[in-house]
Amino acid sequence: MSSNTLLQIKRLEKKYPRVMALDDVDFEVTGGKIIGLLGPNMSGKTTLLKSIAGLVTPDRGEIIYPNNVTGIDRLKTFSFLPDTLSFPAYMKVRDAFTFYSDMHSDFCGETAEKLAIILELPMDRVLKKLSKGMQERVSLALTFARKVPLYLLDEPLGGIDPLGKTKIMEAILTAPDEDSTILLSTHLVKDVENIFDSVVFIRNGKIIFSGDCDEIRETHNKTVEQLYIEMFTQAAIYGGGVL
Amino acid sequence: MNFTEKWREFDSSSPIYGQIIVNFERAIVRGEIDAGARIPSIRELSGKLKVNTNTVQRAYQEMERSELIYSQRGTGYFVMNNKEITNSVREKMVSQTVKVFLEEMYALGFNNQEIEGEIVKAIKANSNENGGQKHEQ
Repeated sequence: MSSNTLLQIKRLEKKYPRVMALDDVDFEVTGGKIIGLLGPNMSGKTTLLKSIAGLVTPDRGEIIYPNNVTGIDRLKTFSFLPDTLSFPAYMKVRDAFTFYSDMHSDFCGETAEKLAIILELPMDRVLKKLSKGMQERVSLALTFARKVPLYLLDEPLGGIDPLGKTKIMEAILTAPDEDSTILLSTHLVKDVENIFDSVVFIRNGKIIFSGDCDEIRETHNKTVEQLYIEMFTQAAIYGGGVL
Repeated sequence: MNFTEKWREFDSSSPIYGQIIVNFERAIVRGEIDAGARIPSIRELSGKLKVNTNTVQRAYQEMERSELIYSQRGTGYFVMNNKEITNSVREKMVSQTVKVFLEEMYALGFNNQEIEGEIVKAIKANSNENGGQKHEQ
């Protein structure tokens, strides 16, 4: 474990009745990076993020959290954006911020205000009545308003229109502290690949590639998306199984 | 300073930090960024171009090394106020562009004289297209 290691995942395994959701997943993450967790649907991205967030118990393997904390303290090292969030029917955007700041001692009001501006959040509207894209923006703002070393974002660009996408990318690039790390899962590679330092390709629960984005361009003369398509196509032909 | 769409389009085959540097060099050579002017902070540009902050940082580091920009602690990054450097960037960019063009023409089997003729022809055709106006790109 190098001194700058923030999170370490060792030989993680999770089996569901019919699928291996995580199959010997092994990687580590250093501070101050944005890392893309890329793979098609059902590849294990969500299971991996949920395992780190403590919402799924892996069958085997180990997760070493920032500063080696264990037990309940782990919850203070990350902020998790699930792929679906539900809010109580009465809650306005503003109420959700208050709720989050009451729940989390690491909530930073100043960052929250900055994010509300970048993401153009309608603070006095009822959350449930907002579009799916706008609800996602609110969720992202809540996730980033906490000051933590690690952000786990599960498909933050799911139901987002192109304009919302650029705002979300701006928030991802400018909101967190410089030494925080973001682990972001998505299957929309092309739209966001330029925001990543490095990427991890995951297929059928296995990591099939991981690498630095500049290096992919330099050594393969390809964009991340081109490499992604190439590797997943090859894996489908030679590796068997469904994509 | 205007970060148009052009700044946000990256081609696939080379690292993005290099393409950011080329965009700065062009803007400086064309006078779109004045010598001595302040350029955006790393984070600001990262947010504008929607690229990773480390990518922008790497571009700035390289430009600092080649003395195209300098950083002032606490106040930000500035374009070097030095005619010699902007001139040498201009020369570098021109000779690169010409070199690529010449190599391509030689590969097509043209000799120097023919190339000269083609250039004159192309410039004429281009200026007719633009209503006799000099092309300003």
